Amino acid sequence: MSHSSRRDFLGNAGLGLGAAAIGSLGLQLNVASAAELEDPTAPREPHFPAKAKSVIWLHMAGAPSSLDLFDYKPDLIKLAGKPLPDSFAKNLKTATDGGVGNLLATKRTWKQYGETGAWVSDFLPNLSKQVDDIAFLKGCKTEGATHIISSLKLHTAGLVPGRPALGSWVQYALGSANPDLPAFVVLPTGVGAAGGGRGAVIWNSGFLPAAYQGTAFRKGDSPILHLARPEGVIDTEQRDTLDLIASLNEHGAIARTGDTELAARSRSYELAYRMQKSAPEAVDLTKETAATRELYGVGAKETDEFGTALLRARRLVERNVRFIHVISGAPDQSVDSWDAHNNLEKNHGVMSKTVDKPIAGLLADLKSRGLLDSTLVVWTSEFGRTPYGQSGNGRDHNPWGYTSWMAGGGIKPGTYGSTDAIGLRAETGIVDTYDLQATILNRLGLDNRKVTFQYQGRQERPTTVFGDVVKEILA
Amino acid sequence: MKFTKKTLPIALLWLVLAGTAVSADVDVDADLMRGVDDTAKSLDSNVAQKDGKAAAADARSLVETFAQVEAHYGAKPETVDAVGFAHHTQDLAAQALKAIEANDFDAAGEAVNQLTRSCKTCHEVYKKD
Repeated sequence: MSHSSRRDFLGNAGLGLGAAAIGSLGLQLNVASAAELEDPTAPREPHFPAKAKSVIWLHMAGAPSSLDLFDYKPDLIKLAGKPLPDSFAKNLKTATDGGVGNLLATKRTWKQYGETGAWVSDFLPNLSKQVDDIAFLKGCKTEGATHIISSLKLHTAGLVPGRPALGSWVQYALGSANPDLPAFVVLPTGVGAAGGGRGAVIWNSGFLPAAYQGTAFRKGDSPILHLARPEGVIDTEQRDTLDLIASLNEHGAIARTGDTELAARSRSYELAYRMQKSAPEAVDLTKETAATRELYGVGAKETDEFGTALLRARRLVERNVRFIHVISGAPDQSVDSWDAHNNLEKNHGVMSKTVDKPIAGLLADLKSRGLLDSTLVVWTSEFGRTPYGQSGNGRDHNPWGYTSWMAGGGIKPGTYGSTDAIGLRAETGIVDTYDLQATILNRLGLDNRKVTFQYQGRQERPTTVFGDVVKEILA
Repeated sequence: MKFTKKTLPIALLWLVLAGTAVSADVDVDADLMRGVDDTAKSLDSNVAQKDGKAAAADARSLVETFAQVEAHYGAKPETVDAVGFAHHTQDLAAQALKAIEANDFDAAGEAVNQLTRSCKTCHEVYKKD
């Protein structure tokens, strides 16, 4: 896990901005102008009125099993222990070392909840109370069968590294709504990085200017490495130093009119200075009430880290951060991640307990504060897991059919799409990752086909040449 | 088999015709589809940049390729749906070409949108997972 430091942030901001911003004017944004692009944080107007101001992207890295959380399949229970029927396996190319085991039934207890009647297993007792705010996308599909490839596609719309993350595109298209904080913040949680597909490669800015990359916040009081003022330096000294640098840069700029790199570097010093106050304050949970901390599970062993991340996410939303990417990880060494190739019951028991209460708390908290209407919460993963077993009690990777969900910001609750009778393949309401991305951009007021950036002679788009908005779930 | 002065020209003609027939049938494999994918992305970009010459070349290439794909599947009774998909996609590439030649890049862009959707629809059936 690599965390961005202030030094990285400044370097990227200073060096990345000017050069790329002006040099690649493929932009079709409504109000973009060269002057605005010199400052990558300058707010820009969306293509049409936005329903959401911020996105909280909950990435369940490692890939949970929809079949044990949301996608109830009685036929799979009936067929458990039998080989995968040919009728389901037609043209299926499995790329697993473990082979295709016999069908594996869920061991969970299932119920329908709320007015929408959404099925949720007893792995998620708290989230089940929030289903009436959620649109379940049960016909999701993707490509690839390895974590890294499918995670790249989920986050960057590419199968190889080099394309910008969705959060980077959002920042590029809309700028920042808070000049004192990064517009794209990443909150990684957990120990280890099993399975891959969860490092900086999924939140970098690819061919967009480096200033648009996600800024990974660290745990603890000082979220950005090297952000705090060095010991022995007081505020007035630092301010004097920055003022001197600014005056020297202004003097130098007289002979370098149009030098956007110099202007960007000067701006980045001021941004960092402001962030010394704004970033620690944004993640300071001592200002939250005990009841709010409890709502997220902060302070409880299983939920403390993920709950802390989500409470920070809410605070960042309140401070108008556009895109907050939260990555779910293992709370301890007892499991790797959601990647349950074996002992799924134990794995999902631990992982579900880690996220269930914090996510339910986040939805309830956003709603009670009137923020859910303008905040889009997205739960997704690089793929799902197979209905056939692996290692006797686990499940393999399933890119052909799985569940994601969205809530809040202009989303109509309910269930959209389905998988086949055993949950192997998406059958109706198919939503590819491009469509998920297009829908998120739409809720932010962006037309995925009109956000463009010229790179190597081509007009690149966030969702490549694909991506249809899932209109059926729009409120 | 020995060829005489009479039979040699006929044999040569047969070989030429056979060669033509073979070259008309393309291998619809991953390489061809990667080429189509790249051409479609290039077309999309060129339409967005209103580069009529480059866009028309891409659209023409797709029309030709999908004609070959249609012919390929037409020879196989078990893939009759693919003929329809290929024909439809070929039509969309032709629509894009027509719009590009008329300098109507909005219409061309919409045709390219439809074309990439058509690609995905066909993949739902024929792309092996």
